[in-house]
Amino acid sequence: MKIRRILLLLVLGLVFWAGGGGYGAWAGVPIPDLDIGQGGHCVADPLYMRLNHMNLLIHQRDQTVRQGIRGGPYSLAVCVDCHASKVNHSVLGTSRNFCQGCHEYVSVRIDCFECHSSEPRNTKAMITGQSRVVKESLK
Amino acid sequence: MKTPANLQRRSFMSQGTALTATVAIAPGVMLYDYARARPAGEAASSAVRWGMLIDTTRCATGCDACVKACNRENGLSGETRPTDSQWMRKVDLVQEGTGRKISLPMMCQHCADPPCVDVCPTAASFKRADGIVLVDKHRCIGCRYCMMACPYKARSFVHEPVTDHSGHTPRGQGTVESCTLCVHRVDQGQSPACVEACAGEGKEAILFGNLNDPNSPISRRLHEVSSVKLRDDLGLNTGISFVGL
Amino acid sequence: MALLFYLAALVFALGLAYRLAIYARTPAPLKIPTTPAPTTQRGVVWRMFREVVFFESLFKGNLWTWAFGMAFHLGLALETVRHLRYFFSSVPEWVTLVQPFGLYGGMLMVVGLGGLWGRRILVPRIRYISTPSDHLMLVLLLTIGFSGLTMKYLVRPDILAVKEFILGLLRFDVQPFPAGFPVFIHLSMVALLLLIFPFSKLLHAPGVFFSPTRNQVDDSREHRHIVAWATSMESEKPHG
Repeated sequence: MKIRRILLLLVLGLVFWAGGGGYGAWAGVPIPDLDIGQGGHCVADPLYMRLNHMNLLIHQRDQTVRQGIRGGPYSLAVCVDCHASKVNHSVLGTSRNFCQGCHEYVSVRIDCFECHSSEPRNTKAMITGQSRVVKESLK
Repeated sequence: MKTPANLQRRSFMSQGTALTATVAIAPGVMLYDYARARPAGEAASSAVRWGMLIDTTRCATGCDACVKACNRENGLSGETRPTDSQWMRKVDLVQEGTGRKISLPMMCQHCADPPCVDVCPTAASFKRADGIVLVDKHRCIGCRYCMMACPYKARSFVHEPVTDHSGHTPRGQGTVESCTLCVHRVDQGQSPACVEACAGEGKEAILFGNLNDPNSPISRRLHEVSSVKLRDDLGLNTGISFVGL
Repeated sequence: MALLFYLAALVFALGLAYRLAIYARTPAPLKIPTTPAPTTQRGVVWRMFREVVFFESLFKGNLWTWAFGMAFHLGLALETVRHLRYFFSSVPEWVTLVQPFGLYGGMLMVVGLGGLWGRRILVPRIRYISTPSDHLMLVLLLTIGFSGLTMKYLVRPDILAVKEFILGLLRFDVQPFPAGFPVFIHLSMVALLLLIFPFSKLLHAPGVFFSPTRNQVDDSREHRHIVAWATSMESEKPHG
């Protein structure tokens, strides 16, 4: 019976440790504190984007890669252009950075940046050109 | 590779070169007109077939401006170890017997019936409606069948993690890649980086354009001069043709 | 909703403790291990391990039931580890690594449950002995599984809000309940499951450890129990 009691304590301990892990126990709910970079008006409602950004990105990506349709509003490069931190000029790097912060919090892997750049395109003309396209397609 | 069959034909070709010299100056300007950027939201169309005509008589041994431009544009290291990606190579040939030297750039020939697309198990290798053969790296599983199938040894496998994403082409470890005909530039109405670099060197050995438009500079030129497609015996109908082989 | 969860957790913990106390105090006066049984305590631990991890006796009893049962339990285990990401404020590496497998776990779980329910419906003998509560357990778990897969593949919930809600529960800092019908179904079914766990056949989870036919050492000859008044009649010295 002793063993079982020890096991029970262990399990309870695990639960408490899990709840308190990282941020110090019982200190209120930790919510990712994000650096949204430039911010401003997103291409869609933020909550909608939070739930659907992956689908939007994949849909447009397939259209662009396979059919050559360019200039759509939901491009990864546009995400990065707006949301790269002004501190390290990236959407990755720390738990405060836009993409990494949330994805780390909910433990979802981001594959995007193994191939794509996590830094904004520095050619100014390209950025303005792209956001013009975004605005037009939103109308 | 085919070599000129007889003197007669060779003299015809030199005439052709002289003839196109005049045309070739114009295309620098005209090209832009023909390859206008597709409007945003419009898909690539099969009304267009992009291709190149490479004039080996204008291509100089030792000049690798096109290769350098390609590497710079696409973020390739430029190293030539077996594990490094090479999208474009310079090939130097010496004709047996005559000792004639030929230099030419080699890359993906953008076949109309590409063997790489046939063998791809995930449909990652594909041909876009406008004839550009690409790898959809989101689907590529890195099996490298396409590399084995390609008669031109045009494709490379990315062996190491890519840390420098400064190029205009997304590249990633574990996927196969090759010349995209600078699809990102072409879609914006520009010509591929190698074409621009070659013209910048004053050589203008590479003519880029729409093969489906009979009035495009490249179509007219193909109409005028003798050209060959590499390994035409395979019936792949490549988008790249060569003059002076 | 948060209240429901606190209530469910309380009922679950107290109910389970009560049940375990009963199980622990129930006398098992006779040695009745199912033979062939191990003759040492270590052997019993090993047997119990095989029973709990591989469902050995079920494997020998009914292969179909074992296969579906295994699929369900394995899937549930994987899926549980996957869900740990909602309970750690900073997710440890091993939970991150398990994420994709947890997904297969979810599908495996639903397949297993489908098979087990099919057995209760399609096999006449099993249907006859099935009680409504047997069906209820399977339906509950299936609803949880399906609503979970729905959220993965059809209607995505705001998992950020889900995590905030759960961490809020753990820290007694109640956060708004995440929006969305599937989340509501999923979480309320989980609460319901917690509530009825101490009164249901799901108690086989802790119960298996108390099963006298599994947890006893087969040493009734070596360690005989001799009542006090009979010691004088024994030729052998009694063991403890």
